[in-house]
Amino acid sequence: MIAAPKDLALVWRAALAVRHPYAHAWVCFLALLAALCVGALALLRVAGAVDALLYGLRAGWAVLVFAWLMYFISGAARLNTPANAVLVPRMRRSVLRLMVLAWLSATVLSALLALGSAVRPQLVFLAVGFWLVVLGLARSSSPVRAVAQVMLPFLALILIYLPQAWRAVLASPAGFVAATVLLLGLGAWTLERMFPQGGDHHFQQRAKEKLALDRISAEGLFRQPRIPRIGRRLYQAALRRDCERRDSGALLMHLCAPDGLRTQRCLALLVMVAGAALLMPVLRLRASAGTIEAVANGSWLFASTLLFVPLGDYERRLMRLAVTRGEQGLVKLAPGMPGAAAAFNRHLAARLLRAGLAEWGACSAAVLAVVAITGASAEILWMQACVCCLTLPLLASTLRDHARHSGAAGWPLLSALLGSSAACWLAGALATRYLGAQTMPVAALASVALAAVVVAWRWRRLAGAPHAFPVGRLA
Amino acid sequence: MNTPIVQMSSVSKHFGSASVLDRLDWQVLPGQVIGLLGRNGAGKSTLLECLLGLRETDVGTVRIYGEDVRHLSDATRARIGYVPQKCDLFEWMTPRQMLDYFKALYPRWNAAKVDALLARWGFDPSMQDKAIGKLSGGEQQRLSIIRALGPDPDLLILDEPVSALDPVGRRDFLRELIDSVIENGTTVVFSTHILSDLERVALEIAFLKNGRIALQGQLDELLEGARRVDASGGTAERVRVAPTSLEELFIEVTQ
Repeated sequence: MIAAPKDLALVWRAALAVRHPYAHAWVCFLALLAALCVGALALLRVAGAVDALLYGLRAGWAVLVFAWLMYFISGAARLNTPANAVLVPRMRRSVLRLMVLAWLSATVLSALLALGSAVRPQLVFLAVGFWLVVLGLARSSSPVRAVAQVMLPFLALILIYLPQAWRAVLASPAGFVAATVLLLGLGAWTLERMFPQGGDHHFQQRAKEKLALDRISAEGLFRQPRIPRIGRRLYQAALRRDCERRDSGALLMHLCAPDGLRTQRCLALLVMVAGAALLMPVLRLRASAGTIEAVANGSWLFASTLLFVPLGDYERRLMRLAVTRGEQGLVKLAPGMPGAAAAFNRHLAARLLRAGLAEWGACSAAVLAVVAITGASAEILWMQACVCCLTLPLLASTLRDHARHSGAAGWPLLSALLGSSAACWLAGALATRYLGAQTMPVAALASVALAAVVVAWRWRRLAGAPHAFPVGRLA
Repeated sequence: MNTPIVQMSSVSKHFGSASVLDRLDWQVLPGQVIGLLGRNGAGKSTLLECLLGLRETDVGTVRIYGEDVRHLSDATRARIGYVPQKCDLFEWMTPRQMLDYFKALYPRWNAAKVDALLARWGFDPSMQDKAIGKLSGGEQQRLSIIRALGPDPDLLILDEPVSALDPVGRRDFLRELIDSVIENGTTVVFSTHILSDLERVALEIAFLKNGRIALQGQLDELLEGARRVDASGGTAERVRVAPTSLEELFIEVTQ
């Protein structure tokens, strides 16, 4: 193999391996899976085999580009450390070449795959190109990173709602060339921001960049929560108060949630409810009766997504515990904490349970408030209250044997939540069929009962579990 | 006869198939200042963690002040000070907040001593308001030592406490250790790789090898004994170089 392709292949593998040792295989597997699934579905729904093949190829390509970007950009940025940028210039050059090559192939192939579809290839070329550049900028160490991060989710909306006249201009030869020149310029500027050449500025930006990259993964997001200034002030006040009171339970929680999570969460929920309260009168004045009715009837669907917020909070707390093992050793030795394993475990569990219950209560109250503000009927409100109860068994997840388990619970927790919700709903459906009772209230009751049983069972088990701190030492 | 403060009996600890501690027996008497030595990976930190109950032993018992380490009373825990090898010190807090946090968890806290140490060891007001995570490794280690000395412990366990300190920091720490801790009769177990520091502080040395305390005794006696052993060797051709310093003794014992 000649030198340049060999370098590129080496950098490609190294960058992917930074995030995950088998990232390469995963990306290919997911792309193949997506291509097969979408192709098979298309074959069932669309008669032509060629069309189905094209759909499959497009899906596979989309997954390949997306997954590759998630792994490669962050991996390549991590390879380009300030020291490497200066001492191994060939590596930086290879990273830049590879990025350009990948951008070009992604945009050109996307445009080619759009041939034969309703979307014009020129627009696909520009859309994918700009999306890639903004994504790169969002992952860079540049100060404009924050703007790119905000823009990124809305980029697709901008492209979808672009007026027809503008589309026609962009698709015309002159418009396309002008937009491509702009794209190339922006791309070159972004590459410089993504892979700086070393120097003091690079060193300064490195910490910020590392934090931003860490936050791409769920683990990094939970481990290093962003703490706004107001949240930090609230946390400091709470810490001062807890120290003065010598409240061991509250002091224990400072290990789990240094970002003053609960207070911040309540503030965020209050802002959201206030926002809904301000928005609805405007909507009632401006929108048609049909729209207002649709909002009132459909608001529960949007509000229900908030019920997953406590799930994130539990995970964040577990991740915090996983990264404060050193501190836990010191806390365990402090005489202010219960000494016996059973007493300590229950002390910790009671605090975690209380925090979980408070978060669930706050989220449920916010959900019901939003639904009520949108003018939903009493029936919908009642159903929403029942849906809130379906997430209660989640509380039991806080009562685990921390000595043997550490870190985020991940998919098993989500699966358990979905499983318990499905089981309770099934109980409700059976009650409807055989007893004539309403489904959702029965499901809610079943959920409350299930939560009580699982919490009591896990609470009893904690007495026999080893001392919780330091977490994960027996894993 | 003195009752041992720390008593470890037949302690074994495995990590997977690797045996770190192997039926280890060890005692620490009141007022002793013991330097714990061993090669990298010999299990010094594991030994100290098992001693404090921060790790479960597979077999054996550990008692501190006569109490099983798994069920230490509040009074006994209040008498223990610990400086871990890795300074995990609530990096999101400021030094002052962290010290207030631990002050709230201890019934006895020598605030005057803590303030004096902060001032002597260069923690000016601006540094006390800085997040611990933003302090240098040496500053964090000094803070960790101050935290451990805050409750005026009777038993001080130090796991490589000076590894991140510069020579000035090490000298300040050793002076503090000798003047304020050892002179007051505090029992100290001190693990380090910096043998010159150990020679200045520890009167007694214990070598950890193959999961056991291979050799323990007064530093002077051990060095003298090692010379005697070598002097009694056979023919001139077979006589080894006699260990004359702690470093040579360390190499002899641990290799």
